[in-house]
Amino acid sequence: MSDAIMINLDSNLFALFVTFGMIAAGTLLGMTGEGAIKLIGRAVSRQGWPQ
Amino acid sequence: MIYVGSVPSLAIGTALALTGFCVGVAGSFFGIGGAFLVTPALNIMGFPMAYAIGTDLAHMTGKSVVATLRHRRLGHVDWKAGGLLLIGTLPGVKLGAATVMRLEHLGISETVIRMTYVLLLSVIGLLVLRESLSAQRGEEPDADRALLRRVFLIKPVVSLPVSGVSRISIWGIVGLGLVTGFLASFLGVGGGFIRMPAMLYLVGMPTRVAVGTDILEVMFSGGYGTFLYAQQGRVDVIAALIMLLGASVGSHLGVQATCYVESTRIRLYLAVAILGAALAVIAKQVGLSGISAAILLGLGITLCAVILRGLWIGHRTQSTSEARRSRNV
Repeated sequence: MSDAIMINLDSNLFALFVTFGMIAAGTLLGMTGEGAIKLIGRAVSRQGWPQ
Repeated sequence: MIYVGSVPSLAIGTALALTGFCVGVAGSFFGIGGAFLVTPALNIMGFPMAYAIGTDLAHMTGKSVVATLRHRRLGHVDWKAGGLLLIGTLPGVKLGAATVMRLEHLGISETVIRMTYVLLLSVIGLLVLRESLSAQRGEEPDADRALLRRVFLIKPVVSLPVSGVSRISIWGIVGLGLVTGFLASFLGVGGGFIRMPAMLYLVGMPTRVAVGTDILEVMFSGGYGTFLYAQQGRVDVIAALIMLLGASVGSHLGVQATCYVESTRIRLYLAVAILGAALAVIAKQVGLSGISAAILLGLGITLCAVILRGLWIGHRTQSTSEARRSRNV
């Protein structure tokens, strides 16, 4: 980890950012992924996945 | 100054995304976090243990949000049961951590934790294996005979319509959360492999609802763990985000596979995963760390491939039968 990125921030604030950032990223990927997975479903068959 | 992460090489970046994908498929299929698979994989990639655990927890939090959203859409999440379990889980986690501190003070924590881990994994794995094999022979267990539905019916009682439970004690569910939270914290794992069979056999939940509800619990336990590790600067945020990208695709496919693969087969695969993990811990205990990591990685890749195959076959079969039906009409 020689090229490590470091920031000057309070550790509690950083921990909150990381935790809620991951939840936000998951929500975003979950919602956009819905569309992507529908497209994959349609690509493998006309009926698509069960919704 | 606090550590955020480091830019990985192309090879490590690809390995991180693939690891995320495989655990996304398996974790969302079984309703577990998959920490027992990811932590050794990250360790092999050169992450020190504390960073491996922290990074895994961070990606697990995001991945479980993806899987919960998908399971919710398919009607696999029992929010009432999940909320009640959570009430018990949080004090259970605290109690488990306090017990570990006490054992550490006595100097016997490592041995006791590892022995409990192997014992618990072996017993749960064998029980799930036995039940899933007899269910495949047509001897499906009667959900109404689940332990918490027959005994321990202390008031107040609730109904869990999503799980098909008409009457169960609130204390039973909260107590279950307490015990599984304690064990998860005591063993230093997310606890999915303990909670999921407990929901199946003690509450009598349908397999798919147990999977969806368990992944909801993983979201909270993962979030709590991420906060604690990030406070210490032990999360590689860049690696966690790369893994999350792979996991988000894998999670969607894993959840979708639960619609096609039979419940008995889901439980059979879960038993294999739990027994494989037990074998890996035994190998580590006798000093065969390389073999232990190889078992876990082999297990993760094989399960991912088997689940994707199940999804593919199930989907093709459904498509063919629907096409045949529409031709007949």
